[in-house]
Amino acid sequence: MKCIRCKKEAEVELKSHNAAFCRDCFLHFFENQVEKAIKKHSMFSKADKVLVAVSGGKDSLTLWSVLLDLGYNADGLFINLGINNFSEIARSKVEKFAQIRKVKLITVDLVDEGISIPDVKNKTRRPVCSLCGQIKRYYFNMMGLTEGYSVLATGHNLDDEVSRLFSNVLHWKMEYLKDQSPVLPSENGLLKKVKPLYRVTEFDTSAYAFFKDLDFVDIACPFSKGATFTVYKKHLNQIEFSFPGTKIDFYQGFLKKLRPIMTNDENSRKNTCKICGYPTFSDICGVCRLKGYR
Amino acid sequence: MVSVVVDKRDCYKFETPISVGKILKKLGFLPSEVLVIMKDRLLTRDVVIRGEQEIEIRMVYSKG
Repeated sequence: MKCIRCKKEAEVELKSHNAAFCRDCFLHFFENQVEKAIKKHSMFSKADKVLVAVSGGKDSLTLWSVLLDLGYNADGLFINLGINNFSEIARSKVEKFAQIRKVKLITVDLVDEGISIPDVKNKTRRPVCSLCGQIKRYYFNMMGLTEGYSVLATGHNLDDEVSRLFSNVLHWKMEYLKDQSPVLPSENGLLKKVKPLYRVTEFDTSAYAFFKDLDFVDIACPFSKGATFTVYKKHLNQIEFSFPGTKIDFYQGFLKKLRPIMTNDENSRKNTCKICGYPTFSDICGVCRLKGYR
Repeated sequence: MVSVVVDKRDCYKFETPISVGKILKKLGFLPSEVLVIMKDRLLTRDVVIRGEQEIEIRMVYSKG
């Protein structure tokens, strides 16, 4: 198979784009897709201070790497979840990246905050992945605002977005569908959030991380066993294999046709937490409740 | 023969010549689910492996 740009031997085949690329041309294609996403949705400019949420996994480190390569002003935020060995490995990968690229890394330690994920898991009966997501979003927002960033960027890729959309449609979770977008604007104490990798797949980010020799966490979180989205991703890959281009069509179709008629502010958080000031639906936000405030 | 190491754990052996696409099919992987690596290069489905070789298959899914 030959690269469609330079005719060298291809290393990557992308059926949904009816294309194959050599290493250099793939990196060019990948950066182009990210830049396209940033520009199309006016995510941020080179003048903005971007905070990248980094977990130590391939997607978030890929995002940080590509934003720096494209010349954006991007710092990292790592939340230490306090999951023994797993979190320690993740921390070391993120710190190593920040050191090599000579960029700023902010760390929040959930053990110091009194809400490490193993502790929270023992305290409540809610699914731990959902609690972990809630806690991370809280600190992403808080740190972004207090440290003066204009926008928070996360490493969600096309597969993440499509499997989430698929799940929300299967269960008709209208309130989540309203919130699904590559960009969520800044409002009522919430920092602007963006997903610059939404046009590239999990395969693409893996190939990018491989070519760039990124050192990321490749062990599973001990609490993520049996995650529903992994099953959806597998089925969606099967559909994509038979009908290339389905994933991006499904997602972009949603963004163009359904989301615009769903958007309203009926569900916007009107209260602020009495303890920390974070936007919430009730008097005290979920994270402060986890910390024991009533 | 080609030795195929999957996710640094399981090892399978196949007679050569054999294409990468055929190896993936025999192991039940879709091309978009894995990286196929040989000597620091990624291989596309159409590449035919000949002689004694070792390749690595890496799952691309995030592990949470």
